[in-house]
Amino acid sequence: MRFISHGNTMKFLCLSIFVVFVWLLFACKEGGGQSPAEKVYVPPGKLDSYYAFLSGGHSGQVGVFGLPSGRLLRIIPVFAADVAVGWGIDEESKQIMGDYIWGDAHHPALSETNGDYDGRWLFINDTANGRIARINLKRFVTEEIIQIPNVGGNHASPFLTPNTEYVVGATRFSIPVPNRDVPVDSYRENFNGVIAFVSVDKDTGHMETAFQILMPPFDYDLADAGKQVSYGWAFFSSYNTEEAYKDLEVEASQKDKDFIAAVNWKAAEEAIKEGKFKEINGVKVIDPREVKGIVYFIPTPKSPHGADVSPDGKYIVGGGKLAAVACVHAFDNMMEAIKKGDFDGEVMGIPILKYESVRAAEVPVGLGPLHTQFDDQGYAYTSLFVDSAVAKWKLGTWEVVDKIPVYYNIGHLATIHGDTTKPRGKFLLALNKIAKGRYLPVGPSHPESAQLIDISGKKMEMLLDFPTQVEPHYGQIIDSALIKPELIYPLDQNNNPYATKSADQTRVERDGNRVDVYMIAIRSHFTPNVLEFQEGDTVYFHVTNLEQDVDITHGFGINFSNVDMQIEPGETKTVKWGADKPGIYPFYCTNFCSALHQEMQGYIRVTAK
Amino acid sequence: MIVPSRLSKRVRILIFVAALLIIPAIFLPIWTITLVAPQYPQGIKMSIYANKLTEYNPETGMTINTPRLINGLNHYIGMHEIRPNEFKEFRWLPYAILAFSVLALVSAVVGRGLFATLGWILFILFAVFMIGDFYRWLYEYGHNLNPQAAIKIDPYMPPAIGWKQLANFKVISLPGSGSILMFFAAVLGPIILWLESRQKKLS
Repeated sequence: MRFISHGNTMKFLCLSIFVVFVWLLFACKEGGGQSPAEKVYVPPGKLDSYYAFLSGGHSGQVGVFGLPSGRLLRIIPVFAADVAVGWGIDEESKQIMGDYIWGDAHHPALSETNGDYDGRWLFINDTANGRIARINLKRFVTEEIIQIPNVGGNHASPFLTPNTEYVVGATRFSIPVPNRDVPVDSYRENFNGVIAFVSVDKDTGHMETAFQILMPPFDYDLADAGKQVSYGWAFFSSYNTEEAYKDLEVEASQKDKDFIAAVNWKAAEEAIKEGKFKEINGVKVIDPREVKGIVYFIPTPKSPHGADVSPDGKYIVGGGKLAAVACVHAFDNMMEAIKKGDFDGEVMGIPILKYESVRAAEVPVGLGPLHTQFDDQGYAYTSLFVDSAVAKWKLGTWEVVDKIPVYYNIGHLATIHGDTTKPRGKFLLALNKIAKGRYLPVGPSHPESAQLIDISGKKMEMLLDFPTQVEPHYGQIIDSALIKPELIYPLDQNNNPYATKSADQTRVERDGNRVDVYMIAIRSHFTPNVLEFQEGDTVYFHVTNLEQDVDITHGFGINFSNVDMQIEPGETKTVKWGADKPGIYPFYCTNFCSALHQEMQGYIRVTAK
Repeated sequence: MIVPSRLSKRVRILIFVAALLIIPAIFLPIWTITLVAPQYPQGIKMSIYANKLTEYNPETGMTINTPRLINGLNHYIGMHEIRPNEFKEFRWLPYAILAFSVLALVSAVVGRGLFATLGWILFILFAVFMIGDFYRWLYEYGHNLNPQAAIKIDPYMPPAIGWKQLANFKVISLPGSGSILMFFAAVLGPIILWLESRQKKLS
């Protein structure tokens, strides 16, 4: 007797295969469902969900990218000229840029309200020439650049406070304060670091140097403001506490521990009010040898880069770039140690807190921890330069739960709202220093690279590589719903004194050698379009774009000159041009505007004196 | 159908309703012309009111009192610039609408059939005149083209109602809420006549 007939066997087999198939289907679904391609794909006509602002390093610019697609949306010129838009060419931007033609843009910082991004401004430091710039995110244009006196190499900057009360600046390359001619080998006696607080007007965003703190001649690297429980404090990492000035590579890497400087900026405000400062270069400077209770040093292994405060403000994570651990300090411990006077000596009047008293944990993240960001699930993510990896670990249990390789040598990383009190999780952007082999080769200079990583699941998942402009030292990622830029400038709100609001108001005014041309641009002509000047005239072209339509930008470029600028709908811009040599100078619209764009031109005649 | 000399209360209420329906046309758009093109997927909407023109660009959310964008586009084909101050109608149209509303109101109060009927006929004549006037303007704009225009097109008649494709633009012309309400007011006339004649038969 046969238990199973031939037909039944087939049925049984088919049923089993079907069951396995269904199980597989569900199993796949449980695994997240979406492929990496689907997670980053933004179909034509659809918009990205996040803006990523990445610093452009020594290009002096800021790159704006869409995430998750990684598409480059805009380069905002800041510290260097951009002939495409006329940054550094037209009179207003020339004035904002000042005399330097370059800058080293390192750390973008989005303005905050109650510890979270508010989408109003983006600040960025210039490491080279000691400046901070402010970009207006209604216009995506740099509105202000200020010089911070006394700071040599403004690296630990701008890292603002939770209500954008202050952006900070700090010395990377100590110099004499005030700067003067001294022997370099008198470094220890004559050189100083400075920690600077720059106030930000809460309505206009206008920046002004508020006060500074004179510091020992260490190299101050990165900073983060205290938040929630640690509100009122700011933390600055430092290296080269050896105070070397020659072969830093060796000499500045001798000590096992350097310091994170904890600055009580609320107490500093009080000290300034009480007049406890001296003026150096017109700035109110607090000397910690004379004023106590403003700054404390927390020993941190070894040459720390990041000093990143957790979203609840309870922990300060030091990324000791020559260590194998991320060192976590507890704010409560710090306060307790200060109260008890639990000190281990002092430098320049600044008490050094006992390491063991302040430290909460040493998290074995891996080699070369640099910088830490956070998500909404209580995890921290630390970049590992030497390991070329990102480590994910849990705040509180200090357990490293995952690690993912990146390609290669990651510097900073950024998560969505990752340095605020309300991180959003979802994605992490690795900002890598080396990208060899990851893109089509374009000569010996390789593109810099960002890599998008999905952090929504238990395991991190690599999604996307995309090249970035020059060197993204740091990034800020913000929910796109929080940014609402202008699409055009309403003409009736154009208050520029040189605006010309209709063709019949266009004119040429002469005052001696100065000639002012009040010109309009509208599809597809300039008025006036035939101009005559005399040799030696200085001509100011005030060009108003009369368009009120979206994306109808006009350009104004003059042949055989360095004049080119872009004028947005409803905007007026002024550019100076010298009528230096007799002859004919065509000018034309340089920004494609219409079917008759090619016809949008005019002639300048310069007659001999 | 014979118009009764004395109007019933019900009819007088309906005439009063007609008076109320006419009034909003002073403030609401009477006609709308929308231009849709590949680069203007949401369209640029020109609304014609009793006393003004507005142009709405959904992209910027901006509404302005001169059709700046449309004029900018029209200049390629040499169309005469649309200038609101060239429409004399804007000076008297609000008062005309007000007058017809008052006329309906008076008809409701007076309650005389002949008066109301005459008022209704006058209103219809006025509507016909206005539609004719609208046609005339459209004809002018479509035919009075600058011979020096960059793009030469044959003179054409823009649609008064409905839509028409012109080069890359689809022009959609539709009555606005103001004229829709006035249309309902006008339709009340025949309804009243029908109601009254039925009333008479019943009695």
